[in-house]
Amino acid sequence: MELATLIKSVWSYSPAARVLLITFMAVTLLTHIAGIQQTPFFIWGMYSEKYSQQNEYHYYRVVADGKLVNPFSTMYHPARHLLYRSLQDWEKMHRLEGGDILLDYMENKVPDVSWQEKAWFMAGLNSRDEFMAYPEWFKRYLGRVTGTAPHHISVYRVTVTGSHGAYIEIASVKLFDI
Amino acid sequence: MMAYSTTDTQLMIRRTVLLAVAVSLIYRFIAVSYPHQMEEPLLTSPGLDLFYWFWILTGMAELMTATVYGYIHMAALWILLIIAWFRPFQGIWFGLIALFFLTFMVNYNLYSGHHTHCAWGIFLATLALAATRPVAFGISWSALRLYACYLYGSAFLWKLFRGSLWHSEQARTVLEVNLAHYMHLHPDTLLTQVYEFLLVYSIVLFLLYCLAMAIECVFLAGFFTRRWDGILFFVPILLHSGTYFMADVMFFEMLVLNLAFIPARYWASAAKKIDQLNTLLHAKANHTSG
Repeated sequence: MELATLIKSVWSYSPAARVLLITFMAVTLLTHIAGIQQTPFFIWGMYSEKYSQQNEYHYYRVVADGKLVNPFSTMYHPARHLLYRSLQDWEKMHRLEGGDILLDYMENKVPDVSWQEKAWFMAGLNSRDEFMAYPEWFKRYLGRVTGTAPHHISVYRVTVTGSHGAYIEIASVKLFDI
Repeated sequence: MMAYSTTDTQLMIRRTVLLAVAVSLIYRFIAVSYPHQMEEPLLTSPGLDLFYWFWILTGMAELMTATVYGYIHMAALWILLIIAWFRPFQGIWFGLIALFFLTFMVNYNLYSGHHTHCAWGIFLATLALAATRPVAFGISWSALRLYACYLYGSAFLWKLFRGSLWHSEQARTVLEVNLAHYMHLHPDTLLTQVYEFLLVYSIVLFLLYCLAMAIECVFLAGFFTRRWDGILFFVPILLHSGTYFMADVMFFEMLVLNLAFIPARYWASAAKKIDQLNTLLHAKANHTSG
């Protein structure tokens, strides 16, 4: 019984080891119950939420100096993630007219607390200036990743529909050009 | 446990993990994701994770991405790797590598809009090597093995308790959400044709999804016996290859945890073969110079 053997070994090793073990188990249990990860007590629940069937799918199209940027052939996952996933957050902020997503979440989740009056909380959020400056950063980082600094970029949110792998574009909304 | 604690076995394990760290760091450099390469990103997403809040509120996030400290941090990480290679039985270097790697990845995750988990295997493996005394190392390396079992096993249990395990649309929707962009951009590639086949004959996709769940579930056996460690070493390779193709997620760095499933006798045998090779090479070098 591997787990039992390990626990016995840790328990008999030293008081510090016992504290570490109890802390790890307690924090892991609490964070799992709360469903809120606290690094470095990781929760491995990715893709465990149910995905409902969808008729439409969205992605971001980036056009740099008139040419379509193909993220699958021009960048590795970490760069693609940094660009396109942060763009998703920017778009959510855009819908909140430059407001921070976490502030909006906390004001809805715990409405009795005046979150905007808590200086320490507001200090950790994204400002409107940062929201406004994001497109410039996006262009700069895109240039770094592709190796060519673009003069002009346009970013669109594309909606496609279809099934069995065959998709047609039904909408394309420009998010910004710079 | 103590079988892992012999000098030769420990040395093999330590240097193999260091090589894995080096591969991860080289990959992330090529992928333009070092702090100084990120071009001073702006939007952070700490979520409700206190470590990320600590990172922002102490000013470390800005220090790392907007000042020369970003260069210093990564240079220090590489220097620590080199020191640890030549001083493999000094645990402090591995502890520092774990800390520097953790903060490097927290910084990346903070600006990327999502707290990715793909590199945490590297952090955990180096942290486990901070223990150097034979008994402590034996416990630590076994704990890493059990952590890997917990990682994959809890992934299975989360899906079980949240109901996605039984959800017939799960595999199909995950594939389409993640890969509609690829398929729309590349309608004629072989890969898109494979995806189309899987979406048309979705029973095949569902069976692959069940296989992935079975792989995760099998890790629960690792809490009770080491008899299945041979299987547990190989199946994450299948799992992460599958999720790479079916969900566009890159988790290869997690494969460092597979090292914890290799029995001690294989490490000892590899150490012996490397010793023999070294002896042979030295003998040839002496013969040539003589």
